[in-house]
Amino acid sequence: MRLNKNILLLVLVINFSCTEPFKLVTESFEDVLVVEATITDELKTQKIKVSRTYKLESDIPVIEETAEVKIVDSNNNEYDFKHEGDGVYNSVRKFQAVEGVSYKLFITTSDGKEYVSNEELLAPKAEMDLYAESFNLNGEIGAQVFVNSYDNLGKAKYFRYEYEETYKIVTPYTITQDALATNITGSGLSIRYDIEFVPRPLNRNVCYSSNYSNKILITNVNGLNEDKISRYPIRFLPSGSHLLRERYSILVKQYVQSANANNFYKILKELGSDESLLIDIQPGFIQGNIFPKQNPEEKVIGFFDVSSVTSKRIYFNYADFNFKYPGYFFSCDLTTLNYNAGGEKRLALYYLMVGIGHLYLTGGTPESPSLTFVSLRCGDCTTFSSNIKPEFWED
Amino acid sequence: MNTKRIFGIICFFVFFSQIVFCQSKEKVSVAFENIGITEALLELENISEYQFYFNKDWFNDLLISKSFTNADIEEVLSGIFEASSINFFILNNKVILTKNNVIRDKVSLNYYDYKDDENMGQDYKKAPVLQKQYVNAVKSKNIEIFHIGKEDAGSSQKIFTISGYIKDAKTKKPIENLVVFVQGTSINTITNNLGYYNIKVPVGFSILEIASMSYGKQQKQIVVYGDGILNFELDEDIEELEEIVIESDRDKNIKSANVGVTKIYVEGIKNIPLVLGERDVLKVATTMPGIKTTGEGALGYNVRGGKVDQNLILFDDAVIYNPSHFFGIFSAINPFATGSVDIYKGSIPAEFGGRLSSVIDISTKEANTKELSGEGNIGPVTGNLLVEVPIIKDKAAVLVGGRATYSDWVLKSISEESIKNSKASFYDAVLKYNHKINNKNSLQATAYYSEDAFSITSDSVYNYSNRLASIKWNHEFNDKNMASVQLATSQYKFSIIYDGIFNRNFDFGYGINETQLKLKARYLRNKKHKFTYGLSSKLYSIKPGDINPLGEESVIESKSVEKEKGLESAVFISDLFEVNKKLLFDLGFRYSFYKALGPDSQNVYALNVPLSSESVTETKQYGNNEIIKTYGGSEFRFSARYFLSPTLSVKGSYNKTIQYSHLLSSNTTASPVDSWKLSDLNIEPQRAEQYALGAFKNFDNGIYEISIEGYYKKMKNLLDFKVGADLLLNEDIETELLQGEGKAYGIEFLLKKKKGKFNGWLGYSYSRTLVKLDSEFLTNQVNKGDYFSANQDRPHDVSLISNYKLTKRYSFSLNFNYQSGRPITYPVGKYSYNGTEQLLYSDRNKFRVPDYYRLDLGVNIEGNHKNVKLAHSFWNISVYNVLGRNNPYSVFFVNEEGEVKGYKSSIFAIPVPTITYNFKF
Repeated sequence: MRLNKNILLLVLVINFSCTEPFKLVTESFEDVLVVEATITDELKTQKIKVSRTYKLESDIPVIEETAEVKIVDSNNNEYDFKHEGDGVYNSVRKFQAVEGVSYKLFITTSDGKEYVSNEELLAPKAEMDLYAESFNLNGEIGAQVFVNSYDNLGKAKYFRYEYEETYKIVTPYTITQDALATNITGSGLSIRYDIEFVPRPLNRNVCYSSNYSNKILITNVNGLNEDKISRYPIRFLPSGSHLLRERYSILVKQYVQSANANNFYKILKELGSDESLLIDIQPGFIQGNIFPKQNPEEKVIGFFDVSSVTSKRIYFNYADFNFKYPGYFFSCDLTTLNYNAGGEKRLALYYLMVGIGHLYLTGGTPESPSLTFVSLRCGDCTTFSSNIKPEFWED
Repeated sequence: MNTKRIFGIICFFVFFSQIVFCQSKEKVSVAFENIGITEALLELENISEYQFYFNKDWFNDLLISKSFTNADIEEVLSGIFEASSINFFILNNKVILTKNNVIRDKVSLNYYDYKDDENMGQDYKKAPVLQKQYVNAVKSKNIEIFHIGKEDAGSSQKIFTISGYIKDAKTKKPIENLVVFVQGTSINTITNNLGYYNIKVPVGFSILEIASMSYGKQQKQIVVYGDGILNFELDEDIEELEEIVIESDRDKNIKSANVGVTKIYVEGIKNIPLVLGERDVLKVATTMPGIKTTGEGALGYNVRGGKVDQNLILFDDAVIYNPSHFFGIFSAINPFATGSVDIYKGSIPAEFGGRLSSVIDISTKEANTKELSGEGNIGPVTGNLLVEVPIIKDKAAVLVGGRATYSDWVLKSISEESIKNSKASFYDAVLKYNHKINNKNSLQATAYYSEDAFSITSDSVYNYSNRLASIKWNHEFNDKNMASVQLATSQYKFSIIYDGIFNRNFDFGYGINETQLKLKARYLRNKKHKFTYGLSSKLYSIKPGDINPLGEESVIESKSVEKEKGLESAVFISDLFEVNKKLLFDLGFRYSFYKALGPDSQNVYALNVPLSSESVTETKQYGNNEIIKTYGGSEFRFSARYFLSPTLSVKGSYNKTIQYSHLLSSNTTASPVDSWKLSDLNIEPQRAEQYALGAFKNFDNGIYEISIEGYYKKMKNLLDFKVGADLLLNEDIETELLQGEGKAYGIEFLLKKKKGKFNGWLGYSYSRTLVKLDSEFLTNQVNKGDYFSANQDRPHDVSLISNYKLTKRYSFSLNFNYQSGRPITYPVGKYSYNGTEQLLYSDRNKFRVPDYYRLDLGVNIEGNHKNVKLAHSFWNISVYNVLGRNNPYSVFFVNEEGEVKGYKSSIFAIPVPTITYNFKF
């Protein structure tokens, strides 16, 4: 989008305008509490994340580890939370939000400051459908994942989506043996060594990776001529995407939320998606529903939301849409080195000793004193993924 | 003819000390029937003893028909010369005729005592007219002398009225708004739209001076004997065109009672280098202190800390809602059609109202009623042509102008798919008709249309258009009373067509219409009091939004927000009250009142809680034309001038303004797709008061002007919105609204050199604009309810506009502009939310983008105008932003793949060279 716009301006004013990225530098820093709290109607360990703002130059979020977190409902049930790591607090026991009961979030930070949310009610429930189809997105063919809701949503008006995508990885090469250099003698051009073959650990050629949505996906039924969500686009995968190579799975969670929660996420989204060079939305603090008890002027970021959740998972790969078989994630060029020849001998040793991201593939017989190497990632996916099959995974 | 009778006018008839009157008076009976004066005099010579001495060239073709029976020669001669400026002197039987002056037989008594009477004012010398007063002037300046009027020996009148028409020698068009003044005095006048002027001149020798940008400075030496007529024609002074002349009204700066008035003549700005060669009068205006924009790509103008919607921009009396093309990079005003622009930033005349900060009054030029003429230019972005066609010679003419971009076909010719469907184009057209019905009545009608289309993203197209029409009838009842009736209508529309790939495509439209009827009259009671009074009424009608699905797949529901209607009326009166020569008051009073009218429905909200959809207690329904709410108030417009010396004046003013219509914007700068909203039950009108004080000084006969002005402005009920407010299609806008206070203050300095090879101006202003959005509710506060810098707050502003005329054909110009960077809201931290990085923003406008500076250079090359050519032409070569300064216009942050990235953008980041070719025929 941004690119098109620049080209457009380019043509109009022969590219006199200029948009360039710059590194964000903190001019002055404000330390503010950040609360990410969505409890749902699922009976589970509910999670609340408590963190703080951090400097613009930094990539490491600052977490709030020693806060007291609890939720109190209108029936005076208290749900305590315990820090589990990374700023995430888990409910001590499993519980679910129920209709007709209001919930309130209480946080006390280690410095004794107290924060309270507004009372929130469970949003109505709405079912959903998930499907993918071949789609042309601005000239690019790919698989588009859509959400449909059922008819007659009733009171459910605002929807937020999160997804978790998981894809299977199968390395192009299955390597059963590692080659090792032994009995190294001499140095320089007169260096000598023997090749020894040892078995490689198994199960290094099938892996599963997951990504989480990193965009705010919200929609609503206001201003529509139908009382449902139809064809809301969740995720687009270009036809050549490596993720479609073996098997791809997407789990979409639909949160039905309140108007206020929707407004919070909507502004968050708008401020982060400035599409226009010439129109600037006035940025500012987004007021959530969590307030400090002591100092009313203190800012608190975040929204305590009681949502009803529906989730769906689908599987597909390239073949479901008749796409061409997508390439592997990395290029897998082979390097063949003769370990008897002068110069190559030393290089081969280097490959064998240090690895430099390469694996022995074939060769190494007396008849053919050559070794063929391939990039490590082409034969061992655990270098960038995990070979543990997720529990939900269906082949 | 008889050579002995030729009587040179250089002869001195200063004192005739020994004059003997002819005692034996002869009676004459004679009848003249349509004969010339020369013939009549010869006839008299024949039938009487008198001999006449005269220059026959004095008599023109004047024919007389008169008869006398037994009449004295004096009676006969008086009859003959009744209608001319000839005096006669009878010496025995010789009759000496003189033009203008009287031959005296005795020294006027009051000749000697006029020195005792100096307190009568230096401007008015006393009778008689003595040739020595001007003979030196005649010798020193090789200029023709005009003798005006007929001296009356019996009169002690010292001031006479000279009137006449001033026309362009080439086009024969009347020259309007030309300042005529008597050199060395403060006597001056301005020609009206017929080129007519009327000036009181002291008896005797004077120099009438005419100053204008296109005719330069011209002088007429006159010797005044009595009331008379002096018509003349002026040659357009092409050499003088290179001068940048603003405010040609000499001494007007120090003389008028108004503080904070800027006048710009379009003709005078042609070689100020501007971006992409578009001559743009409003851009030039922004180089004057007190008139700013938020940035190069910002829409609209900020006058003395006002917001962009607070300027009443009039184009021939009709409001133009968006005077910009393509985000303010170009102005929508056709420079060839524009005559002059008056910007009132301090004292706003009582006849104008409805906007808080300023009036920008743009007048188109008078169409040429003499002959077909035209003007055009070819620039890199647009082509422009204007033609003037006489309809009834000397009475009526039309002016047709049009301007359009070529960029659209450039875009279309590009094969790249995403660009091919992009749009960026604009055009505007103007049509004007002016008709001088007779000396008392004139009529003028103007129509204007402009349209822009652009796309910012590949799936949406934005369109906006202005449509104006106005008609004005001027009538002069008598010398003291004149009136005009104006009917003006304006429309502003925009649409957004969203044609994406999913199923939510739509077509959105917005429109505002207004029609105003205004009656304005002037009553020039006497020298001390000049009144302007009248009334106006304006009907607004707004279609706040219609949305329709686009395409069969679209799930968007058709929706139309209820129309808004309002009636804004006012009565006004002002008196230009000249207390004495030094002290002048302009006392204006306006009473405006506004009624929000049905049909409509309005929410009533619970008290003591923030307005929200939950706090609605009642929705009231109103029938057609039922009054929803009435607002109103007195708007005082006072200003005063006091002369400390003839070239130095101080002025002060107090101004109150009320605004009933508002531009809704939740962006840092206005956009063409921001909508206007009328005051209603929940939205109060904006109000402002401004105090201003200034000192104005002219040097070197008005070649240099220097001024310093200060102002303080208080504003109430300014509109702002909550962060992320949705304004389109929102029927409860008041729930997003934050109405707050503002204050603006500043000091403005301007030095101008108006004439000479090197001319131009230097302006500096220090100004601040602060806004306070406070509320008892936390959610409705911005920056904890404290004052903060408004988006248009740019404290320091330096502008240098200069021009050097090397030869008659070549002139060079240089602009320099420095401004403090505009305020921005910058992140003060980030956080992780929903798996993505988000920014925590500072208090609003706590930081600033880096300072702005820019240097432009230009060369103007005149076509050779010595040869007779079909058209006069000139080339303009300019480079905008010579230093290539990458002036950041905005800084923004985008979430890409869960990470926040900062971008800064500038509109013209590199030097922009431009060549334009201009022609005139």
